[in-house]
Amino acid sequence: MKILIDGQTLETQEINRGIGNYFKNVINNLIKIDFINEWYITLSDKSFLKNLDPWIVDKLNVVLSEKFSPNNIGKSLDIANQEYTTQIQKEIDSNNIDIYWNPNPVMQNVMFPTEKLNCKFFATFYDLIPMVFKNKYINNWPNALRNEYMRRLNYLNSKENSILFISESSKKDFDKMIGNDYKRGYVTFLAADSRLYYNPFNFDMKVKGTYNILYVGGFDFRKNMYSAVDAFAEAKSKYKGTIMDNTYFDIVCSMSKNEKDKFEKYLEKINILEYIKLNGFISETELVKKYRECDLFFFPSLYEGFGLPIVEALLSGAVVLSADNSSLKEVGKDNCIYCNAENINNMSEKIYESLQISINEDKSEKEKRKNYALQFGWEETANATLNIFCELQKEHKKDICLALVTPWLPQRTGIANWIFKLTKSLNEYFNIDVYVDDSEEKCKQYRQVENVKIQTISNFRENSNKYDLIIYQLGNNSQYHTEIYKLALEKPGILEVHDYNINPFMYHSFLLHGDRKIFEEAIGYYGEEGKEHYKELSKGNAYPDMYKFPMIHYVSSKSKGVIVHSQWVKKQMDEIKNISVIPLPAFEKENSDEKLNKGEFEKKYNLKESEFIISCLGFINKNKRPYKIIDAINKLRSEGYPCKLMLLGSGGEEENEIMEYAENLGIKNEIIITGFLDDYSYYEGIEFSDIIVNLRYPSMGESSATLCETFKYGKPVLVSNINQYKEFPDEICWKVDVNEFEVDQIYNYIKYLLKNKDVRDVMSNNAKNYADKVLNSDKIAAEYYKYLI
Amino acid sequence: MNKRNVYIITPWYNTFSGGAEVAARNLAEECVNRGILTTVLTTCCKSPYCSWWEDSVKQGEENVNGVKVIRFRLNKNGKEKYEKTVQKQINGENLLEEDKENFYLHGITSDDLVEYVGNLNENSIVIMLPYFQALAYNVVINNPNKVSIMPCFHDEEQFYWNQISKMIKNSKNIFYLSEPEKDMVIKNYGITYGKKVVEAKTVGLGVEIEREKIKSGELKFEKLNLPNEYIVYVGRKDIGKGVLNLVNFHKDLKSDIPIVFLGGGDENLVPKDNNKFIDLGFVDEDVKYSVIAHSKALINLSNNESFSLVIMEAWLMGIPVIVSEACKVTKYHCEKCNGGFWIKDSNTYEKSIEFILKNIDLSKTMGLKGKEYVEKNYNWSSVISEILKSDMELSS
Repeated sequence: MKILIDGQTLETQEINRGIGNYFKNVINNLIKIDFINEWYITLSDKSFLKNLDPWIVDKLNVVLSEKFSPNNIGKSLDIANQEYTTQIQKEIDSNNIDIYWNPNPVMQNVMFPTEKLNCKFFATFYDLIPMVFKNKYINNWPNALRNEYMRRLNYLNSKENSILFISESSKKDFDKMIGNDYKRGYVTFLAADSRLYYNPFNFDMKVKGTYNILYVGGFDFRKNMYSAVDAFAEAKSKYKGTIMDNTYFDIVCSMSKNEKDKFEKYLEKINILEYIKLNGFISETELVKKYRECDLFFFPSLYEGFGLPIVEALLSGAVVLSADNSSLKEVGKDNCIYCNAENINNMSEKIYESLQISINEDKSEKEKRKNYALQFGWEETANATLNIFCELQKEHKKDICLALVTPWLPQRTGIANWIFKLTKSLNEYFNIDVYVDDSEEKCKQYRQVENVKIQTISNFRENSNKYDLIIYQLGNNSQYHTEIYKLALEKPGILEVHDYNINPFMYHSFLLHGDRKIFEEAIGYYGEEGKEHYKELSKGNAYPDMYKFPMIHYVSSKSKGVIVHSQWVKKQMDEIKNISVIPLPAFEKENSDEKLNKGEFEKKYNLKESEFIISCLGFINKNKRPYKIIDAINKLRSEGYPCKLMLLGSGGEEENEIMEYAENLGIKNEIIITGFLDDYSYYEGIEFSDIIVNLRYPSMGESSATLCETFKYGKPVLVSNINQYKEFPDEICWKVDVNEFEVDQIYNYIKYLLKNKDVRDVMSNNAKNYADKVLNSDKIAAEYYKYLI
Repeated sequence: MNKRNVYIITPWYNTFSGGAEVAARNLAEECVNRGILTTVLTTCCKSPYCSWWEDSVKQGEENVNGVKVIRFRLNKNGKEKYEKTVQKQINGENLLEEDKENFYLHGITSDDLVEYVGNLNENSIVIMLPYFQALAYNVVINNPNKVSIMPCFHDEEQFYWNQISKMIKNSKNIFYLSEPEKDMVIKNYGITYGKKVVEAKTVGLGVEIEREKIKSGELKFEKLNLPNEYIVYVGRKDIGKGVLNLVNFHKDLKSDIPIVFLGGGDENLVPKDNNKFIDLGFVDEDVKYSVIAHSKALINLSNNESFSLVIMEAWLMGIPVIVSEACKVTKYHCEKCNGGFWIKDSNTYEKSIEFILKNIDLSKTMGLKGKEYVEKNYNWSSVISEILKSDMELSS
């Protein structure tokens, strides 16, 4: 699916305020968790992308036009809206956009469509403040502004459109004041940045002796600041001789000098100036500290679409006294104390009561609040938003017969291992038969999966007609894919591409040993240049040019559909129809309850408990950059870092050379090549590694199941900053550039990770979370179903 | 969760104000301010300038600014052995292993204190600082895996001795004050002790200035009659602190801007009857803050700082700093926050002063960068949280 985001907010000052915060966080997280859809964004200039995470920028398709610049409003809002609409419509048509999403529909410093668009329409709606406080806002607005505001609300409320409300309360307000003619209304809550506000350690770092009430707001009447200080003054006078005597009121609010002078005069008048701390604007770090150390967070707002500050305060563990109006009770539930923000007397009493509760409460209460607030995370909001866009199909029928033509365990190939595990999840959706390419390696006993019939590929031709669907698994190993390739041409089905570049496979399977015609056909796809190259190859005058001729295109073009595992591979196969990206799932070892024994592992490889293990997974070849990694390890050891490099797999022909290289550097004893490992030993190696280095260059555009496994095991991992590897978020893997600084980068990344266990732990949690949520095999099996059906 | 008792051990407490002692005092008081049961264990020695083998302060328990302090009697033996090592060092003689052991067995220490630590509950959080004195060695190696060290390591002879290796081996945890200190330990002890020294945290120290002190300092500032523009040095006037270099650089400076010295030490290092040098000697803390706050920059050319409270204080007041390029720690701080210059000679000194005087806005920005850096990284709440958290992780 192609989703177009209205990017105007990135070009306005709003990007640093509430809506901008939502915009950035939701987009960053949406793209982080979604592998499948293609994301487009409108902008007038690419430079505005600087406000988004650098990593996601590569995954966004930018639709550029000066008509998308909010500066156009300068001419006339009507004209700007009209031009914007025409241009949007054009882009929707030319890019075959399925969904247009406007995350900022009613601010009048951005443009808004004037007509119905040719795709599904979604908008995020925050609040109806101008309507709720009519006399303060809309009734005082110029006609043009008021009319435009109402036009947009009415546009949203049309039967083709769907709206994402930020709370039930804002939805109710909309339904009541504007109507509910819209197609669908969803609630996707706002969120707070738990990385900033949440601290799992419950140390009370507050300085004792005085008490602090924290207020975060502003001079906007809705924030009710004057009433807040009135209530504080009343509490001080009403409860003299109590803790109120030592209680201060800490105000965080930007203010001009005039506003400050006026406010201070007022505080002096009500005799509380000496108890008020006026902070002005403070950094996020300072705000976090204040939330964590205050005795009470007081939020007497008169109306909120959501009420983000109370979530931030709860995440920080603060006791919260909030107003009981609008969305606030819906968000705070029974984790806040509530007051009537229009009643000074009530607020003053609640201030005193809440302070008492705060001082006397059990520490576990703080934990409860923090844990409650954790549900309001940006990833959750993004996930809910994505599910709405995709309307994930939850029901399915299991009457479809699927043939998987593939390598299969115990064949020693990553694809056999991977498809074996995925089949368990696919089994929920299809009746599956497996045909194993055993043309070169016969096997007596294949691994069984319940309700799945496993048979040899030689039976496939006669049975092929009985299947609704056929998926061919194609990789680069001649031993396990030669027959599969032939069948994929003979009886076209869905081709699942594990290596974008199959030139080495084609060379071995069909030019050196097999039917040369098959090779000739495939390279002929590249026109005269391909044919010419074939001639030279046949005569023995040339080496295969694998980078010019990846050779995947021909068989893909003959298939009914193609599944690839990254957007990068998809982009390389632009001309192929019916191609879809479905990520590789992340699996852990079977019998994951089985206890691994670290002591035995250390004994086996002569490791010390105090050493760090840096590992590389799978068969070792030059593409995995072993020499660069060894150089980095050498540098680290020379600076005192006690690390060993384990190559968890066979070194093949490279093994001797690698060990000789290490010996020349004087670190032979610090490099371990394990040789081919059985499953238990392989996963043991991953489990006991501190860091995994998963580099590839040059890359065949391969899908790296080992990388997904490292995520599942929650290991900090380094990958090459190229092609498909770029598509994984920075927070789960750090990317090493392939250039003259490669060794330095590997060295610096590893050094930083070794020195900072906290960072390793965070990366580890991020990776596990990503593997569980995004690379979840059941979720991915559902994607197969959606694509195939 | 912060019901566990914290014990801070240091040779001198409240009777002397060296860098490590100030750090110990601040740490203890800030723990108490946060409701953490904190006890300081120290000796009956008044200061490094009194005998280390004869008690000069009364033994027993007292309360200092809300902190419970227990003083233990000094060991009375071993003076000759210790002094023999020191004398050999002064004479530049090679030290035998026995000499080094004597240095760490018989310098300032207290067997009573060591025994007291041995009897502490296993759940206690025990922190010893600094590494240099015999007390640290004896407390740590006699109570293996019980005492954490905030060593304040310097790149000096003792750091490379076997006794320090043993101290690291027997310590429960290490709290570094800066990344360069950590790098130095990894370089020398990383391969031997592995994860313990590599994963140990750089917690730093908290640096916070009370608003009231800034206010009261402001009221006293005018009486000092200082010129409108000056730069400031705060600390002991000592060759080891780079003061001689500073004076020489400043003499050669083309600008007439004076330098104001605050603090004790060797008065003779500062030229008299020269308008470019003003020595105010010891001043109250609030006056110190006001003098820093009105300065154009604070200078600290010491090559051997393990943290440098004073540059942090200058930054908290938004003042840029000038430090020695040869000091890894202060240079590191400047690099991290862009809050100051590092210099290596009179030429670079000249250029940095010229820049600060000519680029007022940029200098202010440098000071503010420093302020952000200190507020973010060196507030007591985060320092104490990190210490408690690290200890908890090791104990679990």
